[in-house]
Amino acid sequence: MKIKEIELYNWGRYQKVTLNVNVTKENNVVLIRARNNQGKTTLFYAIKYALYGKFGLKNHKNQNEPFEWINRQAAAKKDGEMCVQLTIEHDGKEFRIQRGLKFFQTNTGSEIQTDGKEKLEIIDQEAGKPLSDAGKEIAAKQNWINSMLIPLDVSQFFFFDGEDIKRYTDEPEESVKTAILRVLGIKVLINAKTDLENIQKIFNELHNKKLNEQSKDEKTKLKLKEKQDQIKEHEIVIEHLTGALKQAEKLRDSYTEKLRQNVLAQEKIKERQRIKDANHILDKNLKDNDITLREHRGISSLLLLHPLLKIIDSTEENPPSKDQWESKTAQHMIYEKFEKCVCETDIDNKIKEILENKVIELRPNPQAQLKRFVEDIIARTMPDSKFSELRHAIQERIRIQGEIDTNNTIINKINQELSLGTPDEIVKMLKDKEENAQSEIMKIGRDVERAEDQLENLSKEEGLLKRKLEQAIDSEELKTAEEQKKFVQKVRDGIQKSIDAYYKLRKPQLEKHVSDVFLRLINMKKLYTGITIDDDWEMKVKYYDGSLLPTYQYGPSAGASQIVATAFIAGLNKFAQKAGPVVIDTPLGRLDDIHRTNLLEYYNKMSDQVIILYTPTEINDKDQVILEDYVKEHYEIIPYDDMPDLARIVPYERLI
Amino acid sequence: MERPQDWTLTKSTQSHMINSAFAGEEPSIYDEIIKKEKLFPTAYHFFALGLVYGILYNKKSSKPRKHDIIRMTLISEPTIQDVINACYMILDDGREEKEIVRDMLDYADWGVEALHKIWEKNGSFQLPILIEDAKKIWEKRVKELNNINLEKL
Repeated sequence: MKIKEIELYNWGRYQKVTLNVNVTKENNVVLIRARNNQGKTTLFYAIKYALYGKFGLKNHKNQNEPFEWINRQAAAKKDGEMCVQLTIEHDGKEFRIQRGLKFFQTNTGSEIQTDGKEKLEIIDQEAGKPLSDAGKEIAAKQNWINSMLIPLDVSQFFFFDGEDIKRYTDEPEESVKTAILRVLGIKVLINAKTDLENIQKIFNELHNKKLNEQSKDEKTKLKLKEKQDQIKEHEIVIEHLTGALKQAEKLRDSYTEKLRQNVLAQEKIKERQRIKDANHILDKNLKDNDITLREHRGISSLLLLHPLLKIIDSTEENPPSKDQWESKTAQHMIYEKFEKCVCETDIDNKIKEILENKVIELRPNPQAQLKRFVEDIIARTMPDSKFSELRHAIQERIRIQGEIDTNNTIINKINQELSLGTPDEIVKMLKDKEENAQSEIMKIGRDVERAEDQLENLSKEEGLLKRKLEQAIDSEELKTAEEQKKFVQKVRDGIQKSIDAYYKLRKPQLEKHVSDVFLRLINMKKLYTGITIDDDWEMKVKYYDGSLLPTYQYGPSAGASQIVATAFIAGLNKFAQKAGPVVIDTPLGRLDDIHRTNLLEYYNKMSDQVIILYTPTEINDKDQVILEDYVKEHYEIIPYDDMPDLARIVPYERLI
Repeated sequence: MERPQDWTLTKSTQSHMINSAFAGEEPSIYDEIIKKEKLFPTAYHFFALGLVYGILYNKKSSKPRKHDIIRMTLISEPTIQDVINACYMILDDGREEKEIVRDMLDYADWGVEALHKIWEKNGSFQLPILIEDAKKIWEKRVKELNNINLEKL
């Protein structure tokens, strides 16, 4: 799927906007820049709303209902319609998805009233009419979008907010896990297994009913009834035990979590120490720099005088050098009593007179003396290079001081987080509690096992009794019911095996995808070897020595988790069977400079169509050069001069 | 590179004492900048900067100079010798050496006090800015100075 055009009517800050976002294979990036609160996120959610209605809005921090996105100015004027329209290309065909709702004139400040009927149309552009395959009901049309384009839960790997994706590196929520299973193709199998379990229950009940109706052996039937009652009781016991087991596991997990947080705190303490150590080195560097600067300051009088020395250096000697040379030469020739000149001319009285006239008095002249002195100083001291050294030393000082300040900020932040620190006793106490909870889990686990064994025996006995009843009955109907039951059981077991096998096959592939992207995004490739994903989809960064680090420990910056999360999303995106546009709001989030370039270099490779909504501080003019070759369209969202609450989208000229 | 020549000042001038209104017992500017803050290798390095700064702005201090810093002959840093010599030659208008040297000390005191104010205000001397600014100021100032051939400037 590719989005070719976006049209907005009375959506958020936009009253009417048509935006061409079509891309080519070579130029697959659309950049949309906007300052904060200008309409960037509004545009992002417009795309999600067009595809998924109110479900597309659920991740917005406060506007989760469609009516909250209606343009207020339009509603204040008269009744109208809010509509978002996407023209898309899918499997070589062009479709138009229109979604919107009617609103009534509403006073400014009041909650906007609507007719409550959301309209969704999917139009086949070639035929020029609604797509019949998508059905008539809104649910059917939504189903078409989910099944043919991108399913709602999977869409989070296509449309995402750079600042929000850090949540993927924490323990993922259930909805994220479901989406991952869907992307991996396992969700279909799990659904099939659940369906079969339901069918199995129906067949079991049917079989029991037939057996009961057709058998005349009342004694065995009574025994069977008793067994089945016992089985039910056991099932209830097992259900209780399983509940207790879950509770105990929850308790244990809460201790584990607290312990983890304490361990985290200890890690933070270590991190703080590491930063303090770094600061010690920086302090030493600062002291060295103090000495260097003192030396440079020592000769700063020369540097301050240097512009004047340069002026003096550029002055003429007085008397001019040529006169001085001629005078000295004439004096020498007279003194040495030259009879001939170098040109073989005889030096007669007339020439001698000329020579004598050339001899001018060369008293030490203060101006000439100063000039020569200055020439000498400049040649010896090279003030220009000394000035460069001074500037370098000052810059170095600013850099070192800046690093120390940053480190101190981090240390203060860690101190705040730790507040009173982490006494070892708390860790010990938590460990004890965790162990106790674990013992309880083991105990209940054994009880469950025992109850399950008993249940298995009861089920066997039930089976024997049923067979005894069946043997006495010669009924085709009963045989069919039995066969159906067995068949469903076999298929169910087969699917479970497939799920296990498929999971084992797919998960390492996903890990490889995620690791590949991660290694592309980081600079210190020698230190990290990839990402591991555990069975609960929690990610860890693999350090070169084989140890596994929590994602936040990758790199020193606050944006470290974003790199891992981006790698995860990009990995899942590549893994999804569906091809779709990637739309990124706040692409660089809190990322530091180190990763900015890597991420920007990677974004265009994420999909055949990448739409990036950014702020000028996130991607500056220099950064844009990285993407320049891939950009098809570059827009800017700006307010109207006379209506600052309304936004318009205009071409941004820099790259095009 | 080795210095090719000796002090330009005459022997008698070399024996002049550098003194200042801002040296001596604490609290004094020299004491603060040199001993406490250790911002210059020696007092005469700071003196030389003050001297050039005073000449640059053509401002002299009129405060009585009470405290000795160093005798000129004892200055061992060739660059500072060069700077002092250059300043002397720039200011040399045919007056007696003693008078010129006295002027130099007045210039230096004004410069030292002005630099100290900059340092107090900004926490640094802002040397790169001072040096950049000096380019323009010298262009005007040079016209007032003797011993510089201005004919073709």
